[in-house]
Amino acid sequence: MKFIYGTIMAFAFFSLMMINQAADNVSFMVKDFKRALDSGADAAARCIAYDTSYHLDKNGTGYGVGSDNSNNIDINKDDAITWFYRVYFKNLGYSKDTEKQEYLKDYIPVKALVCFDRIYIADSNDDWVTDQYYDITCNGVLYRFTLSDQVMKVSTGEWKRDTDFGISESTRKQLVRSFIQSEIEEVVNNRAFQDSGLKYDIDFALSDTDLKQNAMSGVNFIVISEGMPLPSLNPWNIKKFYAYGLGGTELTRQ
Amino acid sequence: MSRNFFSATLIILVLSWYIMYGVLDRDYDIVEAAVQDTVYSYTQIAAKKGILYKSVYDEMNARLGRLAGTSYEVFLKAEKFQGGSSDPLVLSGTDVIDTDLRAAGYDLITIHVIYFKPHPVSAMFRLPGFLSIGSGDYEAFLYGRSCLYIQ
Repeated sequence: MKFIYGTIMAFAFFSLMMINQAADNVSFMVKDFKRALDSGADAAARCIAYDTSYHLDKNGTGYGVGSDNSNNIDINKDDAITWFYRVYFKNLGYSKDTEKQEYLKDYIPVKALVCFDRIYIADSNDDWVTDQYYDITCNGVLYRFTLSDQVMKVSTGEWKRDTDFGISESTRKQLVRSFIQSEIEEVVNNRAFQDSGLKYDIDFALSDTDLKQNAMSGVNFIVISEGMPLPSLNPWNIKKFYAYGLGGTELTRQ
Repeated sequence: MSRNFFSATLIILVLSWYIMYGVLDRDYDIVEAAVQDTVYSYTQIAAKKGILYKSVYDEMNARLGRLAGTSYEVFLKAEKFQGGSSDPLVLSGTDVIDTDLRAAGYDLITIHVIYFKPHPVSAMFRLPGFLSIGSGDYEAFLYGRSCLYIQ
């Protein structure tokens, strides 16, 4: 008799554990949404929203007088957003479902487009709330930085390389990185949807030699998704989706 | 003795059902994740190369066949968005295979795989009353879908 009760208790315990795991489709849904986010961010960064060859050919040396290695090109930021949503919703199977699209857009509070000489950030309504050049004060002087070594002294409009102004490469990269980080953090930590109460610290590397992180050297698109409830078959396992997507390109002149 | 035996049997039957459900559900999770990983990785290869080679396509089919049988269908699509239009030019089916999509100006490649037969875990959802987990109409089909920008 004790053996039977013991067996029943063992079954009951084991089965209660299995019940908690049952109908758990949430794990691969999270992966699905994350891949959709990454694919959309990748498309937004790479999209042919700008006529690359036309602009580079037309403008000779490009941005900044005397620059041989300028990588500045026109960006159509609204097209970048369009491409992000296009690929994002195609991956989720909602490319024709406008109602679902509007629902999902509410859970994407930040879309940041890091460009060569400025940063654009859109909120959940796709309104561009930030449009900032990388105007940073260094050693008491206001400079306009870029993702390359081209720097402009704002007061005189003079373009030179960073070292010509007495700014080391590492200092330049650190300043630009901190600026971009703070701009994104300001928008994301003042976002409308703050159900999670989370504060975000944005971080990325200074150079591509960092094994754990990648630096920003071209057009980058960063998107943050927060708090979206994931439909689950398991009533005991309701989760929300928190993730970011990062897409980047490196511009090179051949 | 007979009272204890019948009550124990009933409890074991009910709890065994939960175990069976848990095992089937876990199998579904594993196979579904593998299908999605396979579709995503081969779409990435095609997007990076700008072309879906026949050999790559056959390799993907071989992997999918090993995962959950050969009763599935693969939908291939390449899209080209021209100007500001949201209606793309679409290339679909076998025309996508071995076509240099990048050179032809295509922007997106989509691979969508769906298996015809529902996974055995679906049987659990069809059971009536308190034994069913979901609404009773849910069929768990294995599928994988990936849409990527052609680099």
